Amino acid sequence: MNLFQKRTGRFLKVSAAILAMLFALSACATSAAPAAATAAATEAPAAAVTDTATTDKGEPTEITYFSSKSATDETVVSLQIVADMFNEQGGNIKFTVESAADRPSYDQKLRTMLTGGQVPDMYDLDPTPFTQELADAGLLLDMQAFLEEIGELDSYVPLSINYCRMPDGSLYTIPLEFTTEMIWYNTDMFAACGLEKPKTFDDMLNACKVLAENGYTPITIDGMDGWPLLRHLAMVPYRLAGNDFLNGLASGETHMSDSIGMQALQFMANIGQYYQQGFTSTDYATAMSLFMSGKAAMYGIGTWELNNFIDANRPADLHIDYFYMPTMDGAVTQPNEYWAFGGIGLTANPEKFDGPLKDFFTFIVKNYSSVYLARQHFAPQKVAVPEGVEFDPLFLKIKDDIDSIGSSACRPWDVVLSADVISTINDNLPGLCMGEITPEEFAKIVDDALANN
Amino acid sequence: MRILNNKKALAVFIVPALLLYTLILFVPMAQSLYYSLLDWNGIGKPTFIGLQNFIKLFHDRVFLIAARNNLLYILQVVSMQLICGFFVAVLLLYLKRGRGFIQTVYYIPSVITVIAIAQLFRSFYSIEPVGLFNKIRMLFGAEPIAFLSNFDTVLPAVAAVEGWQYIGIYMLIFYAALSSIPRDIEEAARIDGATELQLLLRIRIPQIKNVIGLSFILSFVGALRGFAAPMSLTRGGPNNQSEILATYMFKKAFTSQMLGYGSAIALIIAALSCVCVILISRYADEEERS
Repeated sequence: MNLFQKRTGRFLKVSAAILAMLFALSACATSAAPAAATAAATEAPAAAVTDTATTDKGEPTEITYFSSKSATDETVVSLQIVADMFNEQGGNIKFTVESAADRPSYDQKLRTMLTGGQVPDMYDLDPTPFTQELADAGLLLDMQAFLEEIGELDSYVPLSINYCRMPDGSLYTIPLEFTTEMIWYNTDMFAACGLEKPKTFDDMLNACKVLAENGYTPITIDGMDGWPLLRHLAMVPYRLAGNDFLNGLASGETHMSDSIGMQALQFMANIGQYYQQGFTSTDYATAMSLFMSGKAAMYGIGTWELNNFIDANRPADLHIDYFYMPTMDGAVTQPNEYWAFGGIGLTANPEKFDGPLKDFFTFIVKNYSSVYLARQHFAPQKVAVPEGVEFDPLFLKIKDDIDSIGSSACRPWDVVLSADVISTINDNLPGLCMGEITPEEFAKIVDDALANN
Repeated sequence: MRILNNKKALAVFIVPALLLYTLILFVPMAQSLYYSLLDWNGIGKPTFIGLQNFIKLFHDRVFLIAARNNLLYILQVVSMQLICGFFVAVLLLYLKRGRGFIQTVYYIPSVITVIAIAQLFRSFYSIEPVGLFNKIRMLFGAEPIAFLSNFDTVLPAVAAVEGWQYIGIYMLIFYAALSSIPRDIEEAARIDGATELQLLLRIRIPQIKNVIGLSFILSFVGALRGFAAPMSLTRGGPNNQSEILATYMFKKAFTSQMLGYGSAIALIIAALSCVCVILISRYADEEERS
């Protein structure tokens, strides 16, 4: 090999080393520019934009909504309808929806965008500790003041808007829905096994056992996205202590290894064995389709998917019913207190909130709920039932439940605990459900994460 | 070539590229180094904590699991790419017709995005509906298994995606090298009574030793960059069983919002990459000298 070849070879090897190093380094650094650095780039001259918003002259103002939901989700479809109404009534906007593939992808992308100072015009946000940090950095709009300014604060259903509030009561988002969550079940499978609708956790576990013995898959769950498993984990603590145990975890007053936490973990270890095989890599759509195609007996999901369960849209041979969060001996919360909230809230970029964005946001608050309710979904605001809409019996049945719902609701763990703790729980909960780690091992991992945060 | 002796002319050629390179690569690198010394979530006020992130790393259970998994991941990816690529290249040597077609077919996965390949493998691994691999298992009377959930199979399953995807590239490299071996050497060996296996082991492989070495480095570096397949298929789960350093870095930086800690992991990956490649490079140099 001559000198040129040797040098070329060495050059290639050194280049390979540098490329490997650069990949690793640039992944972190390029997205971590200070928020303030590029915030100015998103700023637009508000007065000029306002001029174009309410006239039909000139180019429409583009308003981008970065959504955690798919473009076919009913909240997104309803917002699109509201945007069309806004334009018909004199507005001049181009409403663009950008959706993420799934919730974890959305959270990661949003955080990266906000960290880099690329704040979307409108986006979804849960009242998490991260939201508090955004608020502290002055990146969020005071939604309480805005709703008071336009006189719409009292139009919201309390359980719906209270979900959007931070622990100190501040409000940075508006709810786009009022949802309750329940566990749907296949009545034919239950009848074939001689099972009744479960009322307690023991009933539910017994139903799983009997269904499995009869060759059915007892429960289908989306194990990829994390939050459905978190919902199951949260049930026992909510029944035994309301939201106090969860709030205690966040403040350091309670631990996963406490008695209530261990009961919750034992429940997960018990019920986990009845999830469908391969649940950790099952996504949202697949989990749902397993239930809708009659391949699993139970499936937990909220009313945002109600349209899939009504008679007109459900497979004709699929007979279903639902039950709410089961209860247990020693429960301090009532059976009519369960999952009920406003869903992930909508917020707007405060840097651009004077002008067309504010006009459009005001229009949303005043018109969205009527549109959403007309599409057979529970609206976040108290609005009159639209004329000419024939509601499905299932919708009306759930509406009756909502009319007698309790005053408190179970708070999702992923809006209270820090992102790192939730990430740790999401990483390790599947192993507990599969029997690969014990409740004690899981409790130690979570308590360590809580201590580090 | 006289122009290359002129320092001003050299500067005109080199400085713009060097400035651009510095701007888009070394500045982020320097930023990463700085961030790794901070406790910062990207939004609030950063706190300087010196080397605390690095000290914490070596007591981090998941980091150690990810490092172990990364080694196994690289081992599998490199083995698959080089062994399968070499095997197909040798087969191509004996193929009289349809060589171009086979080359194209094997090369196609290399130009498809890894996310699409990962989705393809997701359907192969699927248990409901039963995917290709489980159908094959059932043909042999075995029960279907959840490849992406089982603790024993998940890491090999995600590594197989990248391992398989780039077989075509190494096939082409090896085939080009094997084809360039002078025919007279092979003919002489055949006249001396060498079998095809001896020809392969004693003539062909030694003749393309440098290409094999270079391919090893390319494959190794490629495997070190592994990220998209495990992130897309399992997000490092279940229970970090398919976690590798890059996925862990991403999750810490962008899910847990611990940008300082994520940057520290990135620096460790960079340092490990450099050490590994330099060691391999030195070994290759010494082999050449001997």
